[in-house]
Amino acid sequence: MTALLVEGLARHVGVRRRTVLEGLSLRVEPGGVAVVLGPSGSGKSTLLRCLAGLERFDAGRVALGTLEVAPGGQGVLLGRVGLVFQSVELFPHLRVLENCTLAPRLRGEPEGEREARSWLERLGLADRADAWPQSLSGGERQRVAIARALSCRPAALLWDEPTSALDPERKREVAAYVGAVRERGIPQVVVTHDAELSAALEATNYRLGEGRLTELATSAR
Amino acid sequence: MERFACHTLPALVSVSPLLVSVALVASPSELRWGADAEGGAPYVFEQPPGHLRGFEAELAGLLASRLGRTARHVQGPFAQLLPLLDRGDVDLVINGIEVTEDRRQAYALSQPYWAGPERLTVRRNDPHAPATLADLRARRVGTLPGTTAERMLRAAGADVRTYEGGQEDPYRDLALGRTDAVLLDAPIALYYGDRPELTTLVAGFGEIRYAVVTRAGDTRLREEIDAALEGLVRDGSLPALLQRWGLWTEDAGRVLGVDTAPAGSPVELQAWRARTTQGMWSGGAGPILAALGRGALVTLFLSIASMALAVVLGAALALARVYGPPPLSALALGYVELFRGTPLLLQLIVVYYGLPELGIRLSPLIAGWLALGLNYAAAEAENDRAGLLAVPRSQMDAARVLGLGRWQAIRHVVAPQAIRVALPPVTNDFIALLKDSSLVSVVTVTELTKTYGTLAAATREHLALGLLVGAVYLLLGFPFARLSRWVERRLGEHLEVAR
Repeated sequence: MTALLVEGLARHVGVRRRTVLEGLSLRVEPGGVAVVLGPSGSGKSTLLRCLAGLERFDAGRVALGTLEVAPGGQGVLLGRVGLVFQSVELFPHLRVLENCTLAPRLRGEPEGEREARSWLERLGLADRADAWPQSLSGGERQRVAIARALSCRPAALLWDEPTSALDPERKREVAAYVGAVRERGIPQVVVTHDAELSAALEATNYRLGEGRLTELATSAR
Repeated sequence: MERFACHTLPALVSVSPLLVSVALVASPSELRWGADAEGGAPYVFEQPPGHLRGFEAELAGLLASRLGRTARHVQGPFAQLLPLLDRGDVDLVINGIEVTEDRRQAYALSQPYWAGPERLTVRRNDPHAPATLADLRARRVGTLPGTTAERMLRAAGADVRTYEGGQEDPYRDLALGRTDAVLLDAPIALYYGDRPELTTLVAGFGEIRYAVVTRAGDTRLREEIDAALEGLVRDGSLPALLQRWGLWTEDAGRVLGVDTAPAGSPVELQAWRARTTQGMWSGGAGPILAALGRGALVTLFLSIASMALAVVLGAALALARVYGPPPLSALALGYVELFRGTPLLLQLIVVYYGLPELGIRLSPLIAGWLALGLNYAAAEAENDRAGLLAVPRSQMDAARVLGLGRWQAIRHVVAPQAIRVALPPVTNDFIALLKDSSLVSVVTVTELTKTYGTLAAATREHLALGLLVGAVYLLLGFPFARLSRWVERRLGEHLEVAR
């Protein structure tokens, strides 16, 4: 069981080194969920990209269990931290199961397919394994993206605005998926500005503003 | 795509020096003589296709046997024959090359083997037909470029029209009324000016002499050729040869030092006239179709090999441009601009005739393959780049987050989607390359269009052969267009599903 720890994270962008994140700290225990709320442009996406290893940070540290990441070393997070994109980003030329098994297959992990099938089944997609992403509904696509991220056995899972593209009925399901992942003991960070979602999750709520996180009252179930 | 680039490119590169060395080995017992068979009768032509004829073809054979060597004809476009000689691809050129002061300075010319006048051909029923050089002032007169005839016409103030396509074209245009006269060497007027609607004036103008051309430094060969020519005059075989082709003239007798006209009749001229009135199929369809088949195979294989090079190199260039570090990306951009912004013909000539100055001598096929491949690589790079840019960057992010390396992400996520976008323009380029491959005839490769030119010069059937050759090009390109549509459908399978 690993915890996700962020300490003093800073990120400046552009030639004028505009500050996006400054001294940001966060701790998510194994099986814990942190919900990050904040208006557009507050740096929510930048935070997720830094945590996923897609973008460098300029100061501070990220720790994932015993793995320590210093500025510039964010590459080691790739493949270790799952990210469910707001735009889902399934690979359109690969079938549902292939989307989930591509990364494990390239890493030479033979158990990847079993893992993928079990997640597809848990997410109600067992009969869609051979479908093209194009043929799925918006909700189904998101669930494939979740299954794809989890098939790689990530040590942490990040969600970027998971309800933004869903109709109200489907929105409620997202909370259930987060719950399913929690059972695995994986720390999660959910970025959203959907108050309904944050209310439905048993999580520590934070507000991102001026580059820092402020803890809000823990939402009650 | 990536794996293809990694394994195929080195293979191609490692094979090419082998081909170069094989192609450049010239046996010392061979006498390589350059001539353009598309030029036509009576010099050098193919009749039936694949069988070389002409008084110069016979002369080359006679000279070679006097030298104790075997004659080997090297096909080259007329305008490139002397560059081929400079390049060392041929030992000498025998193709109606006129003796001029310029050529005397630049090359070692033999004694003349023929001499005669320029002849003026006009329309039979033209009441204003010119009859003297003075009449030609401001009149439209056809001739071949770079000849003594052209210089005479310019000096006479004529409105000169020159023809690159062969000896028949000036006479065809004259018959059609597009020009008022044609001034050309007596042998050409004799073989191509002979049309019912045309007449050639008996009185000729000036005197031109044909000589064998060797390299300036090659005086030994020149002396051997002169001695051989002298022997051929002494034993009567050269005069007899000229007589058989109907080319004996007083001028020729004078320069060869022969007082009496040789016996015999112009049997070859008669045979030529008989054959051209019979039409091109008189010798059966076999030889013509075989010649076209050979040309089509050269075109096809050259195009496929060039496209393979273009696709591999183009993919590497596109990847360098989109994903490479700034210096590499700039280099790739420079390559694309250079090869896209200059004419393919120029590149071909530079590769074949220019690179030897740097010590790089490529065989004709390799030079053609390389020039076509390098040129089309620029176009393929742009097609591939468009394909790569059509894939959202977030797809790359998604792949990276899953733990795929950069190259894995390109190969398994970006490239498969990019190829589908790039495929239609790539197919289009292949069809274009199939046609552009006709340019390699300037480096002596006889492909389909050159075969057409040679056949048309020998049979004078431009229209029928043109349609036939056009059909062959269509047939060559069609399977690839079909294949491409099939692949495109396969790659786009995921887009055709109903939601």
